[in-house]
Amino acid sequence: MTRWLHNMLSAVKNRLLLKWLAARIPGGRRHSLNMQSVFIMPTLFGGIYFVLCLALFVLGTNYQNNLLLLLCYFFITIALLHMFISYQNFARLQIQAKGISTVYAGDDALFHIQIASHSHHRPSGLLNIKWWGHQKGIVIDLDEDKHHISLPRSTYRRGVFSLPRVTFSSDFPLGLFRCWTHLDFAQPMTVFPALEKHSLKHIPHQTISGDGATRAQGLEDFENLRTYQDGDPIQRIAWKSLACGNQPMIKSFSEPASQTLQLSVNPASRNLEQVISRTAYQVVELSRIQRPFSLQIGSHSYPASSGREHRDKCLRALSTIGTSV
Amino acid sequence: MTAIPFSLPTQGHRATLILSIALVILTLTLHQPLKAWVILMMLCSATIRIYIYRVGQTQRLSSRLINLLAILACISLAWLSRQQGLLEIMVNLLITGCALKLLSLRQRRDFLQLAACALFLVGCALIFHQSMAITLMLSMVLLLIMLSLQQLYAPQLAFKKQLSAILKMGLQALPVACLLFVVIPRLPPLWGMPAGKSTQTGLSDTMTPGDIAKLTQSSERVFTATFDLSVPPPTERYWRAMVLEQFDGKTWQLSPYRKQQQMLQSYGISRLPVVSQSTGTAYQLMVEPSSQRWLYSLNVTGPGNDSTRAKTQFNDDFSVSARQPVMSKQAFALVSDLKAPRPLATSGIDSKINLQLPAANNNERTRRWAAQLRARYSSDDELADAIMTYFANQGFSYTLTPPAMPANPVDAFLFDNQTGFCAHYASAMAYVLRLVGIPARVVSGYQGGEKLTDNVVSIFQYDAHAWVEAAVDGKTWQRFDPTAMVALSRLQYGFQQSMADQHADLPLFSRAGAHDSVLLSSMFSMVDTINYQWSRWVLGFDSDQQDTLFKNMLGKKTTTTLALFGLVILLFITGLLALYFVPRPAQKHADEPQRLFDSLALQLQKLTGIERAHLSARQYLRSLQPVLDKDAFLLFAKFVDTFETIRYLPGKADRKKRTLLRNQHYALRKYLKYRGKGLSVSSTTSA
Repeated sequence: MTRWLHNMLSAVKNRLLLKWLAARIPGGRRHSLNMQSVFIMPTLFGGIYFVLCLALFVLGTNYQNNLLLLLCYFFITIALLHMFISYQNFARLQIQAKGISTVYAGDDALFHIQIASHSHHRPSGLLNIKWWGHQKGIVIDLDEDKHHISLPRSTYRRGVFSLPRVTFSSDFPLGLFRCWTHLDFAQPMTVFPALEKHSLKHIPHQTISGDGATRAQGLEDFENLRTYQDGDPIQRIAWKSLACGNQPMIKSFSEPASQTLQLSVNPASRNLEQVISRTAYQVVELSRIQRPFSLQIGSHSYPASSGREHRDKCLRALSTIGTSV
Repeated sequence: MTAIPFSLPTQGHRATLILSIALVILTLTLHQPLKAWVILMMLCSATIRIYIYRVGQTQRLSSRLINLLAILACISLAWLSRQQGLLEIMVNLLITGCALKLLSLRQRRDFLQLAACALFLVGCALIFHQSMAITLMLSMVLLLIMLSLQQLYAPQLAFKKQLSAILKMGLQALPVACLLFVVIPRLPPLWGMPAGKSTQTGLSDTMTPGDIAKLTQSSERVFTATFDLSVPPPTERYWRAMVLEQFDGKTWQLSPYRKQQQMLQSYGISRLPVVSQSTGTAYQLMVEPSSQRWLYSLNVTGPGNDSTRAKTQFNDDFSVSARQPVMSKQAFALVSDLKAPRPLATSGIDSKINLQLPAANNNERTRRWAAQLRARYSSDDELADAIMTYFANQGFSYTLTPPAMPANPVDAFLFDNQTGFCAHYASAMAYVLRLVGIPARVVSGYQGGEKLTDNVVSIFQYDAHAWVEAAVDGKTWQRFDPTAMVALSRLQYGFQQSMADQHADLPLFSRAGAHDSVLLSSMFSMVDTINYQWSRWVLGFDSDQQDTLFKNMLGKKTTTTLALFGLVILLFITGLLALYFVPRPAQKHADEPQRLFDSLALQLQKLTGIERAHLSARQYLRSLQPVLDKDAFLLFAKFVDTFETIRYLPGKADRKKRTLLRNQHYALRKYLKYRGKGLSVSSTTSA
C-alpha cells in the first residue's frame, strides 16, 4: 500500500518536474548552456565542507585563534569562487544531437552526441551523462580530444518514442558544487520489432498480369551459377563446385518477375506481436535477397518494391502497428 | 541524487599520490601533539601508496586486517594518552584514521572523506602552531589538498594548468578572506574548550629548587611586550607571573587560600587595582600559547582596555591571570605603575600566610642561624640587608648546574654548597626572613628580556627568574633579589651575557648561542622582527583593534553607518567576483605583428592622407615612397621587411624578430611623433 502510494507520488512529482523543465528548457537539436538551463547545488561533499567551515569557526572563536578564523573565511571564499568557476566551466558546453541509431527491440540503441564549446576556453573535468531518472550513465573527460559520444539506450518494445531528457552533470573543479542540466534533444527514436525466425516458403504469391518473359532472381527454380560476391548468403554457395577447387560460386534461382510475394499482417490477430516479429524477419530476409514484396497491414498497403528504403518503410510501418502514430 | 559508486584506479592515480604527500607533510608539520608511532604509521601508509602508484596494487589488504589495525590503534591511543588533553587525543585519532583510510582507499567516497579530514587537520594544526613558517607550510598543504581534489575531478587536465588554476583560485580567494577576517565581528569564546596539556609550560606553579634550571636553556619565546613609550631599564623589568606563598621545607607553591580566592573571583568581577592611565606605563603583551592562565605584569598592574578587562582577572597578590587558559597567541593590553607601593591587605591575611613555616623539623642549621641573626639585629631593615650581604660576602656563586640537594635543601645550600641559581637564593632568603618574623614570599616570573626595538622587548624561557618579596616595614611589599648579589650581570645585561662562560654546552644554532656570531645574531633578530610583526598584526588582531579600525574609518558607530559599511563590503566583494568572472572580450588581434602594423598604418594614413585600403604591406610601402621623407621611409621599409619575414617565414628565431619588430615600431612612432616631421620636402611644399 505504502509502496503503491510512494510510486504514485513519485510519478506525479516526475510529471510535474518534466512539465516545469519543458517550459524552462525547451527541446532542440542543439543546446548552448546558460543561466536558464544550468542548475547548481552543493554536493554531499560540499555539505560536509560547510559543516567543516562551521567547526573551524567555532574552534577559532573558542580558542580566540585568528589563523583558524582566517582559514575558515578562506574556505568559505573558496566555496564561493568554486560556485562561479563550476558554473563558468559548465556553461561553456555546447551540446548537439547527432542522431540515434535505429535498432530492433531488445538491442541497445546508440544516441550520438557531439560536445563542443561556445567560448574560446574549453571546458574541463569529468562530465557525467545519463538518461533522465537513470542511476548509471557514462563518464567522459572533457579534457580528452574525443568529443563524439554515444550514449546507449536499451529498448524493450517496438514503436516510435521520443527520447527522454539527458542529464549532464559535472563536479569540476573541487567537487563542492554540482552543475547539472536536463536536456531534451527532441529526437524520435524508432525501434523496429524484434525479429523472429520464420520460413520464407509459405508466403502467398500474387500474380500480376504479364507474359512471364522477364525473370527475377528468386528461390524457386535453379537457373545458373555466378561468382560469389561479398554479402551473398552463405547457404547458397555451391559447395560442390567449391570442393572441386573452383572459385566460390553462388547458386542463383529464378522465377517469373510478375510474381511478387505478399506479406500481410492482420492488426486484429490474437498473436499480433509474434506475427509482427515474423513478418519483420521476412521483410529483412527478402530485402537481403533483393526479392520484391508488398506489405498489407489491415487496410493499409505498401506496394511491392525492394531495396533498403522499402525495407525501412515496411519495418517502420510494422513497428507502429497499434500505436497512434 | 546519489553519488555513483566509483572505484578509483590504483596505479598511476595522481590524485591519491598528491593527497598522500599532502598528508605526510601535514603530519610532519603537526608533529608536536602527535605520538611517534602515529607519525610512523602515516609514513608507512604513504609509502605503500607511493609504491601502489608506481607498481599497482599487487595484493589487496583485506578490510578485516585494516579494522583490526584500527581497533589496535584506538586501544593503544586510549591507553597511552591518558595524561594527554582531549585535543591531542582527537588529533592523534584523526591522523591514525587518515593513515588507515589511505591504506584502504578504493572509492571516490573514501577519497572525499580523506580530503575533508585533511582539511580539518590543517585547521587543528593551527591550534598548535601559529608561527609564520608553519602557516606557510600549512598553506602549501592546503594547496596540495585542493590540487588533489581537482585532479580527481579533472584527471586529464595538464598538470601545469591544474597548478595554475589552483594557485589562481587561492590568490583570488585571499583578498576576500582577508577582508572578511578584518570586518566580521569577533565573538567572545562560545564555550570553554578542552585545553591540551603542554609538555613545556615554562614556569610551574610549584618551585622546588632544581626546576627552573631546566628551562633556563630553552630559548622558546614566552611573550613579547610592546610599550607605548620606551622600554623601562632592565632593573625595572621584573615580570611577575606567580606568587608562591606556601612552603613545606622543600617546595614553594601557591597558597591554597589564594587559589580559592582566585576561583571565587573568576565567577565574579574582579576588583581592579587603581592604576591611572596617565602616570602608568602602558604596554601590550603578546603571549605565546602556554595552556596556563597566568600572565606577566610589572609591579602594580591594571587593564589597558575593555577587552582585556573582560578576559583577565587581577588578583590580590598583584598577579594577573587570564580567565581562560592561553591556548593560542593572544594580546593583552596592560597598564603598570612601576613606582606604586604594594600594600599588604588590611585584614592581616597577607602576613598570616607569609609567616607560615613548614611543620616538619628540618633545615635545623638555618633555624639556628636565623635565631642568631634575630638576636644580633633589632631592626628588620638591617636584618634583611644582612642576609643580602651574607650572600655577597660568603663566597656564593651562581650556576645552572648545582648539585642535588634532596634533604634539608636550605641548609645544604646556605652552608654546604653555596652555589645555585635564583630559585635557591630566593627560597633560602624567603625562608630565613619568615624564620625571623618578617612576612616574605617567593615571586616567580621572568626578568629582563631582549630588546627588539626601542619599545619592544621579547622574553624567552631562559629569562625565567625567582625573587623575594618581603614586608620589612609590615605595610608594603618590598622586592629583594638575592641572586643579584652574586650575579649582578644577569640582572643588568640579561641572561645572554652573564652566561657567556657556559656557552660550551649550548647547541650550535641555538638562540642563546647566537650572540657570539654577528651573522647569526642579525639573522635571529631579523626573524624576530618578522615574527613580531606577524604576531602583532595577524595573530594579535582582536576585537579592540577591530573597533579602533572601524572608528577610524566610520567615525561614530551608528546603525546607519554600520549598515552602509556592510553594504559597501558586500558591493566590494561582488565587484571582485565580477572582476574575476565577467568574461572579457577577446582581443581583436591576437597576433602582435598585425597589431603593430595596423597602428603604424593608421598613423601614416593620418600623416600622409594615403589610405592603406587593401594594399599589402609592401604595396603600401611603395605607395608611400613619394610622400615620406628618407628617414621615415627607411624606418618603415625596415619594419615591413621584418613584418614580412615573421608573416611568411615563421619559425626561425621568431622571438628575436618580434623584439626587433617591436623596436622598429617604436623607433618609427617616435620619429613620426613630431608633427610635420616625416613628410618629404616636396610634399610639404605642395601641400
